Amino acid sequence: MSSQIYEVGMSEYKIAENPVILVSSGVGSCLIIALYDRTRKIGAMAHAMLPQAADLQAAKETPARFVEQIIPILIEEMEDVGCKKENIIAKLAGGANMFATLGIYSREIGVKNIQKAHEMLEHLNIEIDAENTGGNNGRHVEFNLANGVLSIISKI
Amino acid sequence: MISKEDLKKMGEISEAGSKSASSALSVMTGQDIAIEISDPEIVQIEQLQKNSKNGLVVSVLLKIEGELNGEMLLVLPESSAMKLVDILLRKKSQKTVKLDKLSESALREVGNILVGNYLSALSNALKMELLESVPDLVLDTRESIMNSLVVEISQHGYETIVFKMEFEVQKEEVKGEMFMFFNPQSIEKILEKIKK
Repeated sequence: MSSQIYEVGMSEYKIAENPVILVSSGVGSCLIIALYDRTRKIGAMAHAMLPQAADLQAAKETPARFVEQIIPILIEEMEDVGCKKENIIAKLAGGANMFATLGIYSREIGVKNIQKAHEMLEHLNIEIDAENTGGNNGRHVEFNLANGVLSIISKI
Repeated sequence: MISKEDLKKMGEISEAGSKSASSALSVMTGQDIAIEISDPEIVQIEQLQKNSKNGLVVSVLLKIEGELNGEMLLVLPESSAMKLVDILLRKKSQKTVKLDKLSESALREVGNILVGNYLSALSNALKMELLESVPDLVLDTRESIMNSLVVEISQHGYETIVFKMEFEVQKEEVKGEMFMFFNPQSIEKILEKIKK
């Protein structure tokens, strides 16, 4: 059975069921949050940019921009299609600090994105099953909903 | 709100900077440079990453400091970057196959000179003191580089004005892009100066 491929661009999220591969290419300091229900083979993936929204309007308009805002939405929407919260696991990728210069100025947004995801997932009682975060390289991420494997390719 | 007229005026000032940068590149390489300057455009920041091919590029990033704040990014496809190193270090063609410390520092210097010339043209036009940070060089996919730049820009808002120049060292098949971004307070300062 060949899988359909769905792109998840910056500040976007998608929920899908096997046979689907969710793909985000060019992940720098952004963070990929991938949630998976093994029993249902349903997955959700978000490509978030910042730890949290500065104001309510920003959060409402584009929740997938923000780690804090999008994680509960992913879980809720998975539950809406019949997933049980206790079956959902999380995988994280991204949060790189590619430019040393930016690291100084933006106080390592990548790191803050990772921290915020940990904080939220712990709070919501979702286990982090695997993680490939930080470092200095960009990542190409593929999330296969047949088995929940999150593949990461760095070109460097 | 930024009017079309304001964008046009800012575009003219940026164009003078771009032309100054390209003539510096022409002096450095001893070659004619063809340039294409895009009209400044207000975009949603996520758009900056779209339509990026996933090939490897060498990027040089400098922060604009002083009376204005922003970022300037030089993007060269990997093959163009190596050819440019050959020209700058007076090597035989196709000698550079991997970027070593010397070639990286040559490319950082290109970033320095292009940005320095761009900024001094702006500095003259706006009567402002402008500085640049130490250049930062990264080799990675264009998409992931733009991704990280977008995250940096996002701290000042979710829309930005893109100032862009494409250039080509004609005989040598070296192609590149230069992007300039100013944060919203700096755009306001530029507009105030223009209106005086």
